[in-house]
Amino acid sequence: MKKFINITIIILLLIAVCVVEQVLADKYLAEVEARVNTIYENFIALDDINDTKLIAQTNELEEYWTAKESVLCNFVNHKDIEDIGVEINKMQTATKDSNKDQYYESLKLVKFYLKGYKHVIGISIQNIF
Amino acid sequence: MFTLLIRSILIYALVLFVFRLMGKRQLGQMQPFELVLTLIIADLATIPMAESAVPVLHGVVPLLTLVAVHFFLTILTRKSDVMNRVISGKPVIVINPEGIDYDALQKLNISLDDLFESIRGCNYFSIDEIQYAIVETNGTVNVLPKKESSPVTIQDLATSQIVKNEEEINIIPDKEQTVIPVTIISEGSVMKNNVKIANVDEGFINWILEKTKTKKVKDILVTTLDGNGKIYFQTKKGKGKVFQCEYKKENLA
Repeated sequence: MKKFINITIIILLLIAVCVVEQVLADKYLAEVEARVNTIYENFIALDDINDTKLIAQTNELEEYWTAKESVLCNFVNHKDIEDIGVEINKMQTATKDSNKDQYYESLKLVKFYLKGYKHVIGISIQNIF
Repeated sequence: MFTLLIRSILIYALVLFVFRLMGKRQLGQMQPFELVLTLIIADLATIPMAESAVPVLHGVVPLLTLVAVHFFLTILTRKSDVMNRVISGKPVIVINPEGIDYDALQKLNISLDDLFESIRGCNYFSIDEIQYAIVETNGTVNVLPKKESSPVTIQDLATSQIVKNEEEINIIPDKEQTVIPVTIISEGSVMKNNVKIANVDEGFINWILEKTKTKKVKDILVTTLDGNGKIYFQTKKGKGKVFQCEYKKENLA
C-alpha cells in the first residue's frame, strides 16, 4: 500500500512537471515570437535602425528573454536555447552600432530558432521517434 | 564545479531511492526487465551529472517514469501468468531423470559447457548425480540431486534401517526419490497447466478446499503437490502445513 502511494505521488509529480514545462515553454516562446514579429514588421516598415521605438522594443525583448530564459533552463537544455539569447544580444549591439545588416540577420535568426524550438519542445511523432 | 557537485549528490540520492523502490538487493535476483531497468538507470543518471547544460529534470523525469513503469510491470507479472511468461519467461528443466534435454538447451541458447559450469557451481560434478536441473528466469541454474547423491537429513536417519552383517553395521536411509513439486494454486489462482502436469483435475481443488476448510481459492496463497503425493498448503493469512494427498482422480484416462 505504501509503495502504491509512493508510485501514485511520483506519477502525479511527473504529470505536473510535464504540464508545467509544456505550458511555460509554449507561453514564453509564443510571447517572444509575438514580440519578434512586431519588431520585424516595424523594422520592415520603418527601415530605420535608429528609430527610438524599435530600440525600445529591442531592449524590452532582451529584458523579457533574460527573465524567462532562467525559468526555461529548468526544463530545456541550456545549449538549445542559448542561441536565441546570443542573437537578441547581437540585435541590441547592432542598434548601438547602427548596423542594419547585422540587426536584420539576427532578427531573422531569432525567428528561425523560435520556429525550430517550438517543434523540438512540442509533442509530435517526429520528436518521439 | 559546485553545480556538478550538488547535481551528483542529487542524482545519486535519486538513484538510491529508485533502487530501494525496486526492492532488490542483489543483481543475481533480477528478472530480465529489471536488469534492463538497472542498465538504463546507470546511463540516465550520468547524463545530467556530467553535463551541466542538461537540466536535472532531464535525468529525474525519465528515471521516475521508469520506476512507475517497473511498478506496473511487476503488478502485471504477479496478476497474470501469461504476462509473467511473456515478460520474464519461465523456468526450463534442462536435466530430467532421462538425462539432458538438448532441445531445451538449444532453445535457451545455452551450451553444454555453460550447463556443466553451472552444475559445478552447485557442487555436483557428474550428470548422473542429478535428478533435475532447472534454468530459472533470471539465468541461474538450480539442481535437485538424486536421492543417492543428496545430503542425508535428520528425517532420513530417523526412518533409516540398521542392517547388521557379520563384519559391519550398515545404516540404510529410507529415502524417497527426489521430485519437483508442482504449484497447483498460486496467490489465489489455479495454475491450469500445472493441474495437468501434476495429473490431477478440478476435483482435486475442491478436495483441497474441503480438507483444509478453506472457503475460496482466492484465500489460498500456495498449494504444491509433488510426485510422492506430498502437499504443501498455506492460506494468505495462515501458516503453512504439509499433508499427504488422498485424492483419487476420477475417470482416469
